[in-house]
Amino acid sequence: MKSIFTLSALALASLMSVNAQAVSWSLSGESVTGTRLGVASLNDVGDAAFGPIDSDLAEVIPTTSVYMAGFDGFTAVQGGNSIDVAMSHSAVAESSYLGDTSTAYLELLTSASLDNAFIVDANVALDAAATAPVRYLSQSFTLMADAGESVGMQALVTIGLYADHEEESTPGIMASAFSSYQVFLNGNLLDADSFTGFGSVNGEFQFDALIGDTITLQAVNESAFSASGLMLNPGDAPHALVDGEFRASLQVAAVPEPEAYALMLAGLGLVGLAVRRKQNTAR
Amino acid sequence: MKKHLLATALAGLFVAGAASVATAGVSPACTGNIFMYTVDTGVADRLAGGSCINDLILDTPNTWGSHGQFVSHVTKLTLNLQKQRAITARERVALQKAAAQSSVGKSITVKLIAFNDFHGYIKPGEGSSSNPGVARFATRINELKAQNALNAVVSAGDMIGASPLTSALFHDEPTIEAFNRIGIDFNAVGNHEFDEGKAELLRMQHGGNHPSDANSGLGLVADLEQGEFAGAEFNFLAANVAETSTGKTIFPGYGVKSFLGNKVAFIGMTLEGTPTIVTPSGVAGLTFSDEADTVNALVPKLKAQGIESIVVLVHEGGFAAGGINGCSGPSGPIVDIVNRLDEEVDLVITGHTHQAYNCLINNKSGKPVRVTSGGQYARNLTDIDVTIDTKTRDVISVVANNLTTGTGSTTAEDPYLTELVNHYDGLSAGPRARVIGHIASSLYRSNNSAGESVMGDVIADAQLGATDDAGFGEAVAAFMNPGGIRSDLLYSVPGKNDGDVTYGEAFTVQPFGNSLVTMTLTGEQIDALLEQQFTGCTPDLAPAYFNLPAGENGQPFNRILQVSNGFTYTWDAQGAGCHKVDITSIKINGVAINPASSYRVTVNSFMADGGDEFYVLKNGTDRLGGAQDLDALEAWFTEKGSIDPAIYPGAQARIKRVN
Repeated sequence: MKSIFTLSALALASLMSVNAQAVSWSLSGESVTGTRLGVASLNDVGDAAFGPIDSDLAEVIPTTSVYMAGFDGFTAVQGGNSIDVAMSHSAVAESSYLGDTSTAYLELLTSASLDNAFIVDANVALDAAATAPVRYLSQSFTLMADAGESVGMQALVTIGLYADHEEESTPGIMASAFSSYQVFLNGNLLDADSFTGFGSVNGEFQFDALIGDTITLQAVNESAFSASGLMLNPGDAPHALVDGEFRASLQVAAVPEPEAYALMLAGLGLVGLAVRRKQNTAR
Repeated sequence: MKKHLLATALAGLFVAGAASVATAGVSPACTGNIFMYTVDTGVADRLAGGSCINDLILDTPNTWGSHGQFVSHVTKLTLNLQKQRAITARERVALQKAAAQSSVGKSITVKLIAFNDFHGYIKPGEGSSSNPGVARFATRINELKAQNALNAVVSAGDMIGASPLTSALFHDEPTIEAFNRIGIDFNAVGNHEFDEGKAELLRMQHGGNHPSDANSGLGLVADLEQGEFAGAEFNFLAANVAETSTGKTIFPGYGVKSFLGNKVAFIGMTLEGTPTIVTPSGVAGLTFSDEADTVNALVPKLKAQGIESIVVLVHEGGFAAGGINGCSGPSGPIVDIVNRLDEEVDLVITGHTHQAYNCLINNKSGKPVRVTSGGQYARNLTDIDVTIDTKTRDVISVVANNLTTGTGSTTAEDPYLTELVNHYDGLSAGPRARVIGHIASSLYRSNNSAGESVMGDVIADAQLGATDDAGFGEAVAAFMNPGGIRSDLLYSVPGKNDGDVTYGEAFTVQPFGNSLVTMTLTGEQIDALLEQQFTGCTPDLAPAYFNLPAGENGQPFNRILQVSNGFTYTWDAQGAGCHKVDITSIKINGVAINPASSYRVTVNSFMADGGDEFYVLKNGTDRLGGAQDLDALEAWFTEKGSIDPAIYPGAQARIKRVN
């Protein structure tokens, strides 16, 4: 396992305390490209399936939510022998995380699998490959002003990244998974990284932005397996399940202007006064 | 590598509800196919981890905030099932496809529980045996909440103000605490929220004890905050009430409640005419804007936030016949307001007129929008199911039904609220007995043959006394509708000293909490007002300035207004309809009125809006709100000390009748 994701030491908790105002996110345009592909043959007799990633579900709710998914499966048959292949992939982007509009998120899920083999003949040659891609999702997020805020005010953006790749496959089947991302601020590349292999990695980085800015995340997540000339005999049950997930959270906090700090301090003073006055009247 | 906290949280996304899990040791029988709500997946149900897969799908309505969330849930669930080898790769694909084909998550239904004009009627039977009290109201609200976890409880104004003694004595803190206990979401301000002024209204929201009255902060420990009144846990809304100096609204104009990520905006406001029916000090420094214009200006702002479901809570209403769910012949200001509303508004919850109705009124685009009102005093509540398309976020249906709360044994009291009501009922016993003045003998509300009572004379004088000073109306006469005089003041009553007038007694005489309104009428409009007291004055007999609406049949019986001292006139019982009063007989302090001159007169807020069929008052100009009627009466007793009906100035001698 190898991690080359950027890491940041800044704790999110410290960020929340200055979040006096509520800058929020709005989705502002997405594009998805990618084709899933699966082929399988037993003794050179095979079947195949492929399709675009939003073939089964594409739900775009402008400014708030995007969901796209595609699922496909087939059975390769040769005589009394058969084996199944399936691919699944989905992409989600939302302008809030569980109702918290200061956090937007993005999620890509993929899986490629092979199972349900019935092998009745001796020396059956399996050739199979499947790739479940979200290649790629480009999603833009715009910083929206809330009441009392305006375009151009400063904000601090924290991007959290997480990738997890898992696999279980019988010997002779090669599994692979891949995640990558690029972060752009108003079209300028800020950060990019990728992760190959299995296990999980995470990272986080921060940068200053202004209300009205657009942050674009381009992300790839892919699960794949392949087998070439794998010899099977009666009772063999080759199996592969590769799944990948990539998640990103985009958190924003307004940065108080210097005069706002002064106001906050003055406000604290007033609170102190009010408390003291209350104690006086209580007597 | 250790997963980051946030990443861990994200990994738990879309986990909603708890799957039904079989009782330990007993495996459920899993029969038939797995369904995605109504879509047959073709995959046989089976046991996985002690539960049937069908029970893990979580496809009941109102579980998911979007279709994508549901499919995402199925994607993750089935990945785990595949890892457990409970399903094959192709079965998983079949389940995912069926989830995508299903309607699960494509709409949600939100239950709105609405009421208006509660007016502090927390104690059952107070004011009227028809009032169920807040503890029964709570039972009904809780029943509706239990039907749908996606709910909001909203009020269209006049929750407080003009309230009976049990709440009024404590500046309506009991009412705020009662609704804190019930748990509601929003209250739009109504005119009566301003009865005690802006500062007091802000205190209702934010808490703290009353600055001068000790009858404050006396709630039960559970309701207080640091020993003081805690303020409302729900939000007041005031989209059309701004500080004149800054232009900023005194409360948020709207509140947003999110239902599984689907936002519904509630725009709250009072009637634009609030300053005309509230005492000037209550609305000093505030500007009240047009209702429809205010809503329409907010619509683009809400849409920019991705909000497509918009409910208006407006403390202005109308009238309609046909029972609490009827709407025949809708009339009143709300019709014009809704006619001018942007078509993005999905529902209008109204109040102010104390009527219950369930209407469809056309908006600006000519499309009908649901308009409801639940009457008054917790007697009804409106049960509204709003179905929202989770993709467009638009409201796709609104079904409303007014329900009666029920009194007596019909509806059980919620003991949590009964506790609060009993507490304040006990506390109010002493103040109820507070002596505000004295009488030498009973003041009766029974009329002489001319239609005049001593009690009515005293009340009319009190109202003139409260509104005749410079800056407070400069009124020269006051008129009181007889129906608003609810009781006699008796010389001798058990539990008080003979001749005392207690606050509780005065409250029973004037329980409605109407405020005073001073307006300008011409001499001929005063004549029209007097003609409108009598039966048989119909539009065909009246000049236009009588302002009688077409089809008006006149009074059902003679409704003789009580008049202030110095105002005199004679009426002829044999006179024709609309011609019973000789205008030359109408005098103020002995001087005949001039039909073309203007006079400042005071009536209560109910009459000022044309109540009791005194339609000419709707045309009164230069309106100015005044004190509450009961406060005016108490001030009159304070000024007079003791009132002896035998020698009271002008007692039952102001109105003369011939024939």
